[in-house]
Amino acid sequence: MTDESPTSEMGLEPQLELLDVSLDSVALSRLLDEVREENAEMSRSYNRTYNRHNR
Amino acid sequence: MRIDTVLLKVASRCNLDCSYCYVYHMGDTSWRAMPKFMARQTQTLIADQLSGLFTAQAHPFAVVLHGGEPLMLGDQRLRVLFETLREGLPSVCPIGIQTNGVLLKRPILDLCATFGVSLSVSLDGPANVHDKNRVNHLGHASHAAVIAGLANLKSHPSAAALFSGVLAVVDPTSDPTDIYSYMKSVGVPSIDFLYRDGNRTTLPYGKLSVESTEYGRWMSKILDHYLADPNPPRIRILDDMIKLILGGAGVKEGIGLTDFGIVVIDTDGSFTKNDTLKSTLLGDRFDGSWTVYSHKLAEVVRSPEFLAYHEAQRPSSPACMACPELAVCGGGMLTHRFDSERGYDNPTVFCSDQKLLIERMRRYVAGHLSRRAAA
Repeated sequence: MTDESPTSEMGLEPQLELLDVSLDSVALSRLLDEVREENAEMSRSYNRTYNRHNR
Repeated sequence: MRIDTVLLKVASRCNLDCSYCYVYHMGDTSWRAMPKFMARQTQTLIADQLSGLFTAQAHPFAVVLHGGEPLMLGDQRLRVLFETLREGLPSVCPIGIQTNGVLLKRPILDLCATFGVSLSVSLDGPANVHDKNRVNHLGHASHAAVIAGLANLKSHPSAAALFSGVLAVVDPTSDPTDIYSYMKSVGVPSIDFLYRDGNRTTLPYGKLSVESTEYGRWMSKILDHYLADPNPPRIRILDDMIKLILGGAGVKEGIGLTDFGIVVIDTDGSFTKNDTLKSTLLGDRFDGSWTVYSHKLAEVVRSPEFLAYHEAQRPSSPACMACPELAVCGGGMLTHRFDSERGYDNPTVFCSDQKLLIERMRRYVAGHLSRRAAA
């Protein structure tokens, strides 16, 4: 990435100090629960055939 | 090998003329020779063959109506199409439509609700981002019409079942914070971000080089907002990658190592490869001239040429095989691996972007898990 890149002007460089998400990150907790259910062979909430986008 | 997606090109023309479209603007001109709409006879043969495919593989698959713009068929032709497909297709096989949203009006929505057809709408962001590329044939903006269509969709009594989400093509020069906020304000249930098409010979828009990370930085900012959001929508590309990091399974094409079993049937009834391959010099045509008029889908997908095409999606380049992130990245979509010297035997053109994004995800996940363990 060079300095001329438009994204570098928007503060998009990795901000390592900001990577501690709070314990209650809804998205991460949701994904952890889903992976746990998948591993237990429970019904999958999200797969390629159902609940999908169309690409 | 199992088919999970049958993509039907029910209309070969589109009421929009998006500048980045791989169907019309990336070198392939086969659409010109196609009938404008899929003929009734073609539809009938396809319905019969979908029934045969389900019997042969004993596993459901999704049928996706695509184009061009599938809603250009209009409600009467769509009704006939739905009736025809459902005659051959068991109810466990869902039907979905990918639409630009301009023609989303009540009669079509009622029809989709009646037949249990879901809709995914293309929306890149607010007007200043969306209308940079998504314009009609006169160059006029489409954003206002799409928002009107989305309003019709969201206010429909069956909206929850009808609206599967939006597809948003990434503009790496846009502000990801604006895009995330905008998608939230529109109230979309799910978003899938697609990187702009391109390859290692013809770089995607916004990428200065194969090694640069414009898309990875952009998506990392989306990740930041997503993980901090107390009421997040679904974001498929991020969900898939994080689930793979957590030891789960991914489903998105080009992510992870699960095979994507797609067959495309063009408007004239011909079987083709993944249509995104139109954006490469090798194109999306099989050597064999297979059509629903002369061949059976269930037999085509068992043929050596189809199996070779299917297996080509599995990453094979030495760089990918040695990469510690291969199980998450998956090597990317086949079309994004192309270069004019080695064909598809390369890492994705977004390799550096994906590495950056995965590293950020891993740090988030590690922080989350360690806090959880300490709590």
